[in-house]
Amino acid sequence: MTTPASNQPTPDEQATLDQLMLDHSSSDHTSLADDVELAADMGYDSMARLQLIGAVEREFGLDEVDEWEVASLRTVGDVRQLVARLTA
Amino acid sequence: MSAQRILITGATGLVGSQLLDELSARADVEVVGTSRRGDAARQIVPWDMTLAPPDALRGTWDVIVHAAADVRWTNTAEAAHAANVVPLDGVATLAGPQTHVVQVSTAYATGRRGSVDSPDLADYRNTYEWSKAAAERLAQQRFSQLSIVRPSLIIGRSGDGRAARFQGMYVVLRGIAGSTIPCLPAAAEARCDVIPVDAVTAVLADVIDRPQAGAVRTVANGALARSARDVVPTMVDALNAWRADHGAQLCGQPRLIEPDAWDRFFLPFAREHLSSRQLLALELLRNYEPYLMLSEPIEATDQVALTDATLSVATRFWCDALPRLAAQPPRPWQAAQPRSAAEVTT
Repeated sequence: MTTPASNQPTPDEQATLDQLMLDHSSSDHTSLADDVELAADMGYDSMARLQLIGAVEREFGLDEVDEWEVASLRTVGDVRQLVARLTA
Repeated sequence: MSAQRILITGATGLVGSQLLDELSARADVEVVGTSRRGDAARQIVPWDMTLAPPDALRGTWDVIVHAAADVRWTNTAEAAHAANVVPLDGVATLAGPQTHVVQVSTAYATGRRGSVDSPDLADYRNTYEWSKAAAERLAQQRFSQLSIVRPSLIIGRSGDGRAARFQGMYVVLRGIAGSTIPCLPAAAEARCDVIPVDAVTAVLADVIDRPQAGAVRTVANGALARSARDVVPTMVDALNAWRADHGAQLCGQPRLIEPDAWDRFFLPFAREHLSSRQLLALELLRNYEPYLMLSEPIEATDQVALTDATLSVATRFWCDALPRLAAQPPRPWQAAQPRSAAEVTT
């Protein structure tokens, strides 16, 4: 089953999310394929992940994401899926 | 006399990038940078240091400045070792008997005991310090022509604040701008030691130009180090000046709380009233505590003063580089404030 197109972030929203992920990175990694790992490839630590989600919540008007969901984010694709689900 | 051939690892990092720029401007050296992913625009050669070096890096090097590192304080021991110790094998494949190897370490590599000698993780505040101490010990064994440079916390350069990476104090700044850090533990008498990156590269250049066998240079504020009660508000003032210039809402100064009050009053209160996410943020702040609260000054061989102007320009550069983060509207935490009798406000 595919997700209805209306539930997908718009290109602008996707661009914003990608920029936020890069803004919180501490490496020179600029590719944002879904399988890029936040920690190993982009230099994220727990604080950076937390700060990213705080910024995402504000940018997309989301309620506070549970801490266990933040901790489970491993890849760029995980972040995109989370945001797609919460903005649906 | 032919130009010195100098290789810089970690050339896209905070120190490596600045050093590459400075050495590239000199006529008396031939400098090449390398990093894991490289950067074609700056002719930085890609090299995963756990693999054989590419042909572009072969040949005789007069100097190798090993600046590649993973500076995260929260890595597992295994990850920290892989990032900060194993790459010395790669350096060894390129260093000849006459190569002067300059190891960029950290002023905190001496851990809790004031020495890099211990292999015991318990003698260090985190895996980063532990791995950098191990790297120093291994480098001492491996390289006969070795110098070590140990900087404290590094921010952007003093003139214009430019920084190739934003770590350490920038994470605190990002947390304040994003309302994930509403308060910090900070003792009145404790100090944090913060230096501009060009102070580090000035020492590196001196070490390259005037090599001294076995030299260990510590670049730090030392006895000149300022209190976090002074440094953090200066950065927030600069952040707010940028926000005012860009029509963004100003953010409040984070509350700076005495460590004793933090443990006895604030954390118990927080556990009762804050969300699990907010508690996680407070827990993660523990990683920064040792660096915001030095009880003894670092023994600096190269003492550098930190000025308000340097802090402000570094903050402003960060804001200009990441305007979306710098302009985030403040979001108050849904909780009462710490007990007023126990806290000290700025």
